[in-house]
Amino acid sequence: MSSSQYTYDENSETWPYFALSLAALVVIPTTISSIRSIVKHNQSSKRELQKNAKKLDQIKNFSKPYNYDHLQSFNSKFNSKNLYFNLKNLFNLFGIFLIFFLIRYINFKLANTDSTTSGIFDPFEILGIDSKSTEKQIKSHYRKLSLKFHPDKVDKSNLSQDEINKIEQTFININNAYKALTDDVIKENLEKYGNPDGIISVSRGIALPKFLIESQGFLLLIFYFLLIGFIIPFLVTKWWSNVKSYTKKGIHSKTAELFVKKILNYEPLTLMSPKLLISWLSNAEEFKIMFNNRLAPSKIQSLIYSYLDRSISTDKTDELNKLKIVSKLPTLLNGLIDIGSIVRSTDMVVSSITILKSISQAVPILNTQKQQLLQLPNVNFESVKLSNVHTLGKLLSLPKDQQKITLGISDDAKLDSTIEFISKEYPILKLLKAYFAVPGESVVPPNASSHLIIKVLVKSPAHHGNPNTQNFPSSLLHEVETMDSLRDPYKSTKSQPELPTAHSPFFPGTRKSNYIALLLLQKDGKLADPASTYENLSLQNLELSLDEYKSSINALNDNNDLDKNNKLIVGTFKIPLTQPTPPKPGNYQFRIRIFHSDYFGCDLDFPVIMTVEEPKIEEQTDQYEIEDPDEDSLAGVMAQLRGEKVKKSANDSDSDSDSDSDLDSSLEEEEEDWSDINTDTEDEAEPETKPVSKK
Amino acid sequence: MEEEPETPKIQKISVYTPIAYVAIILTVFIVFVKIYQKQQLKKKLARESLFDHSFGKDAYYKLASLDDPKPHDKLLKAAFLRKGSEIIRKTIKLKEYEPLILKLYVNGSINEEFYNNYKDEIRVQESELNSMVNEVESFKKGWTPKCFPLLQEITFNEAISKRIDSMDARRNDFLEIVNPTIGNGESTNNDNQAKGKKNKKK
Repeated sequence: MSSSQYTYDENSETWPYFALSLAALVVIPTTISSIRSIVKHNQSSKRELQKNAKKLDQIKNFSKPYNYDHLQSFNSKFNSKNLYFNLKNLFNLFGIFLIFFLIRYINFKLANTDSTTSGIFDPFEILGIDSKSTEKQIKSHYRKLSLKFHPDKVDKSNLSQDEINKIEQTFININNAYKALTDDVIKENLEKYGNPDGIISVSRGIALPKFLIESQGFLLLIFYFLLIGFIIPFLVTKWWSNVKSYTKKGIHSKTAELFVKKILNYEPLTLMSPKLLISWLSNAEEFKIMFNNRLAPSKIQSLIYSYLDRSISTDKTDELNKLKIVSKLPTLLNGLIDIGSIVRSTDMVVSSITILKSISQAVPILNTQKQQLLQLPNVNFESVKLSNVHTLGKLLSLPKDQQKITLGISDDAKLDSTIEFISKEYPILKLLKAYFAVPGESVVPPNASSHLIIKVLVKSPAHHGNPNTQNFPSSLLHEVETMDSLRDPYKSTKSQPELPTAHSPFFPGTRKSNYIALLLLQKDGKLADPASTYENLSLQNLELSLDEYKSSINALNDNNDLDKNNKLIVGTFKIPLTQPTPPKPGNYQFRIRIFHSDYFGCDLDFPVIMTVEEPKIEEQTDQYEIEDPDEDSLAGVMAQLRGEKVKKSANDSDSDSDSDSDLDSSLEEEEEDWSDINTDTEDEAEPETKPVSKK
Repeated sequence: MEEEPETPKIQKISVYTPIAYVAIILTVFIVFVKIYQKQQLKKKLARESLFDHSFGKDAYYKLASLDDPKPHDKLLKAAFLRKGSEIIRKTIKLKEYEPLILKLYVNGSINEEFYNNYKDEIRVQESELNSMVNEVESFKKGWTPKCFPLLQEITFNEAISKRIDSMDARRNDFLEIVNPTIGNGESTNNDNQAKGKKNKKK
C-alpha cells in the first residue's frame, strides 16, 4: 500500500469546493423554507384580513375580553414568533455570507493559478490550427511558432524570470503538440489517455485545507477525536431522548403514561367527567416542566377553573401562569382524545371535547348547561344563569327586550352586533343523509373496507325552515362515483374550503376550528373507530340572507334541483372505518356524533344502520376459480398425489390420431378459450358501469 | 505502487501487544456491559407499579411477619384471600388491556419504555400468582383446587359491590355537570354527554 497516492489538499484547490457544496447543501434548503414560510404567512394574513374585515366591523361593538391586558402581555412574551429576525434566519444569513466568501475565494484562487499548466492538452489549439489540417500545414505552422518562441531567439533582456519561464513552457508545449500530431506512438497515447505522455498517475486528494494537517495532523486528530468521541454521540443521544420523551401526538411520554395508568386504575362506573379529566390534566408532566415543579397540581386545577369562570385575580403572575397552562391544554386534550379513542372510551373522548370547547370559549363546565349562550360575546354570566333559555335557536326566537334580559346586555348596538354575530358565526348542522359505502360496490358486502358518507346542510341559527330529506334532489345526497373517487374516496371532503379560525377572544393564541367525528357501536356504546378530525367544510350558507335561504330550501324541498335560486351548498363528511365490515350479512347499528371543536350547540348526533349484503351473484360465478391443473404439469402430478381432480391433457386423449387432427382439436379448444375470455371482460365491465348508471 | 525499494524498516513488536489490545477492548466492553446492566436493573427495580397502592398485600405480609402474638389462623387466611383476590383482579385487568396497550404502542401514543413496563408488570403478576400457589399449599395441603375458584368469586363479588357503591358518586358527578336547577321546562340539548348509556364490562 503506497500511502503517497493520498495527498492532502496542499494547494487549497479542492477544499473550498467541498466546503462550498456542504454549505450550499444546508443553507439553500433552509433559506428556501424560511422564505416560503414568510411568503405564506403574508398571504394567509392578507386573506385573514380580508375575511375578517366584516368580522372586525362586528367585533368593534364587542366588549374587550376581561383578560385583555394579560393576553396582550402573554402574546408579546410567548406567541410572538418574529418571522424576520429569528435564529434560523440569522443562521441562513451567516451561511449565505459563507457561500459568498467561498465563491470569492475560489475566484481569487483561479485567477492566480497558471491556466497553461492545467487543463486538457489540445495540440491543435496550441499550434493554432484547424483540426482538419494536413501534415504539411502542421509542419509549416510548427516551424513558424518554434522560430518565434525558441528560447534562444527571444530577446530576454527586458523580461522577468516569470515571463521567461512562461515562454519556455510555451515552447515545450508547442514541441509536444507537434510531436503529438506527427509521432505515431504519441498520437496513440493522446487518443487513448488524452495526454501525449501516456497514462497520468491518478492522485486522490483529501479535501481538507493545509492548515489542518500542519503540525503533523495533531489538530485534526483532536478534532476527529472530539467529533466522534463526544460531539456526535452527545447530539445523537440528545436528539434521541427528545424524540423518545414525546409521543407522536406531541404530549410528553410521561403524561401519556399517566393517562394510561389512570385508565388502568379507573374505578368502574365512575363518571369520566370533565372534572375528572381536568384533575388528570393538571398532573401532566408538561406543567411540571413548565413551572419546574413549583406549581402544585391542585393550584393548576384551580387556575384552570378560574380561567373557565372568567374570574380575574389581582396577582399578575397567576394570570400569566393561567394563560400558559391554558395554551398547553389543547395539545394535552388531543393526546387524551387519541388515547381515549384507542381504549374505545366514549365518555373520555366526549368529555375531552367538552373541555376543549370550554377552554376555547372560556365558559364554565360544571353546574351549567347554558354554554351555548355563555359563549356569546357581550353576555353577562349572571343573567344567563338566571334565564330559562338554553339554545341559540330559542334565543333568536325571543323578542328583543327578552333577549336583552336573557343575555344581560343593556346597550342596543351591542345586542344587535351579538345577534348578528350569532347568525353569521355559528354553523348549525342538519343531517341530510348518512350511508355506508364501499368504493366500486352498489351494496355493502361483508369483510369489505367501507366508509361512512354524511351529507349535511350548514345553516345559521337564524335561518328558518328545515330540509325535507324525502323530497331532496338525490344528486345532492349521493356521492357520484368516478375514477378519482375510487382512487381516493376522501378527496372530495378535502376539496371543500377550510374552516375559518374560531372566535375565541379569551384563549391565548388562535384556535383553528375543526370537526371531530365519533362512530359508536349501539350495542355497547363504545367507539367503533378512533375519532377522526375534519378541517374542511363550506360555511358559505351562513352568508345567505333569511329570504335567500328560505327560497333555496323550499326549492330543494320540492325536488327542484335546477332552480337558479338555489344557493345552498351541501357539505360532506366521510368517516373511514378502519375495520372491515362484519363477516355476516345483516343490520348493524351505529351512532354518529360530530362535534365542533370550539362552539357549543353546533354538534350532530344521529343513528345509522349499516346493512351488510352479499353482492349480487353474477351468472358465471366460476370465472375467477382456479382451473384444475393439467395432468402433465408438475402441479397436476402434485394434485394427483393429493387425490385431487386433474384435467386430462389434450395430447393424451388423442394420442392415437395423427398430428393434424391434434392441431385441429387444440385450435378448437383455443377458440373456446377465446370466447370465454370475451364473456369475461363483459362481466368485469358490468359492475363498474352499473353503480354509476344507477345514481 | 511504484515506491522505491527502500529497505523496509521493521519495528519489533512484542507478542503481547495484540493480546494487550484485545484484552483492553474486552475489558472496556465488559465493564460497559456490567454498568449498563446494573443501570437497567436499577431502573427496573425503581419502576413504580402501574396500579395504585394496594392495601391487601401490605396487610397480609404485615400479619404474616408478626411472631410474638401470632395472629389467628382465620385472620391470616382472610388477609390472604383479600390479597389473592387483588392479584387476580390485576391479572384479569392486565390481560384485558394487553391488546389495547399494544395498539397504543403501535400507534405511537405511548413510548417503548412504558410498553416494556407493562410487559414487566404482567410478568410480576404472573410470578405473584405462582408464589401464591405455594403459599396456598403451605396453609393446607390440597387447598389449591378449591382456593382459586373461591378467589375468583371474591373478585367478581368485589367488582359488583364496587359498581353498586360508586352509583351515588356517579349520580353526584352527573348532577354537577347538568345544572341541579334543571327541570324548569327547557329540554336538554344533545351536546351534553350521554352519560347513562355506559355498560361497563366486568
